[in-house]
Amino acid sequence: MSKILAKNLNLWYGTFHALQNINLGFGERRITAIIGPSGCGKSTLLRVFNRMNDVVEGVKVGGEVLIDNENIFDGDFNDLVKLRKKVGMVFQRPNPFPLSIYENIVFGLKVHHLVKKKEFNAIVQESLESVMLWNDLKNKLHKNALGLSLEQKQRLCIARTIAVKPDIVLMDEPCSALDPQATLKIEELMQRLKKDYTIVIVTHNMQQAARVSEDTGFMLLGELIEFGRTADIFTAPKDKRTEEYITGRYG
Amino acid sequence: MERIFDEELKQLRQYILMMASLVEEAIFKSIEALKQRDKSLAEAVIASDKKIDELENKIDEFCLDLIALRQPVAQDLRFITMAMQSDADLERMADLAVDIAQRATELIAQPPLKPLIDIPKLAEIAQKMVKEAIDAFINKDVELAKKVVLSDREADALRDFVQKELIYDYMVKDGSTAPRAVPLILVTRHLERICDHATNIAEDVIYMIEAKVVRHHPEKL
Repeated sequence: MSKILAKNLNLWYGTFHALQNINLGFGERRITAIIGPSGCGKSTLLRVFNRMNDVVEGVKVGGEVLIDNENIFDGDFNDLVKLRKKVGMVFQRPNPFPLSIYENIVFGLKVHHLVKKKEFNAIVQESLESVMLWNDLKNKLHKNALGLSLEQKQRLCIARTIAVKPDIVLMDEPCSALDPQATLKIEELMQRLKKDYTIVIVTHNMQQAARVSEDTGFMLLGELIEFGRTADIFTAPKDKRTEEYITGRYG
Repeated sequence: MERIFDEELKQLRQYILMMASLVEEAIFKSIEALKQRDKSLAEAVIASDKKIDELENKIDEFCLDLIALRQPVAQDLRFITMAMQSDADLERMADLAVDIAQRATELIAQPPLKPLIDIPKLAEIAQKMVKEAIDAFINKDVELAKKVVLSDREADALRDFVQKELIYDYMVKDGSTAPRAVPLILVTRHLERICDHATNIAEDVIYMIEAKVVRHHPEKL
């Protein structure tokens, strides 16, 4: 069963038909990459899954997105706080709050009233350990997070996302602001996190999609052109348009 | 959109074609040396092997560079993989041509055992299979590649027939024919192995074009 299932999903920005009849299932505790040229709708698709597009004026969505079989446009999930507790997001540029490292991590816990304050310390440690920052930062927890390196900031943002124990982590170009070494470390981290989370990553970097993901979807002009095992997509894509894009013949 | 990478892939194709033509020539000359009992032709085959070996190394190195520098995917990756496998098959074929040339040298030193009829037939099948495998590669012709794979059975059957004849009609009846019959048996074996390598190339061509692995899976043809 798919963790996230998009059924006949359509999205319009005003009159612009940005997502066209997307049908796609994301496997649980797998990393799925969405690739495609700029403007193909891959970030829009990602943002549907935690309803980030709701704040964009003139957006209209049709179809269904089921998470654990529950439509996110309906019922309980109309409480967006609840949805975003379940579906965390990591952005292109690391965006820690101008607060201490500690406060960054417990921020979500406070918003969601998830746990008692006395448990905060343990969760801060656990979250920083899972992004491999604990040893470096355990004596600097009350320093401002804005003083960290870019890579550390991005790790902190991932720690902040997983502190509230979501099921799904959406990543929108999470390494594009990082140098190759930091990129590699974040990719390694993703592989480790996979055992606990369903990860969906949008990336321009095809080698990154190939390295980190198990499934890949290729989008073009708002349509999902092809979806399959990453190894199949990168060795023997079925659609000519996928072939042209991944071999750099597109455009 | 034409990429700079496409020029490099064209270059790789040229290398493979160059190697294939040298190998075809070596096989042809080794068979002629055997048929015409021409020692100098046999020596020419043996001497030509070094150039083919060097070309194999050059192709492998070029492929590794392309993988490292261009990070190929999809059809580009399948083509480069095919090139790396096929150059090994071509190199083995050239070695087998050398083997045939060496057997020819041994046979030339002795009186003929019998007129050669079926061995040249087997040689013709082998040469045809090699040529067609290369043609399938050049023209991206899946049907021709399939034909090559299927004709391997014919080569196997002819090899069995010739070997039985040499064993039962000659060696069993008259043990003194062994020094001449054994090299001929080996020649059939070498020719049949050439057919196997041509089959490998044809299977790789099918993989390159259709991304379908038919090696060890004849039912997928």
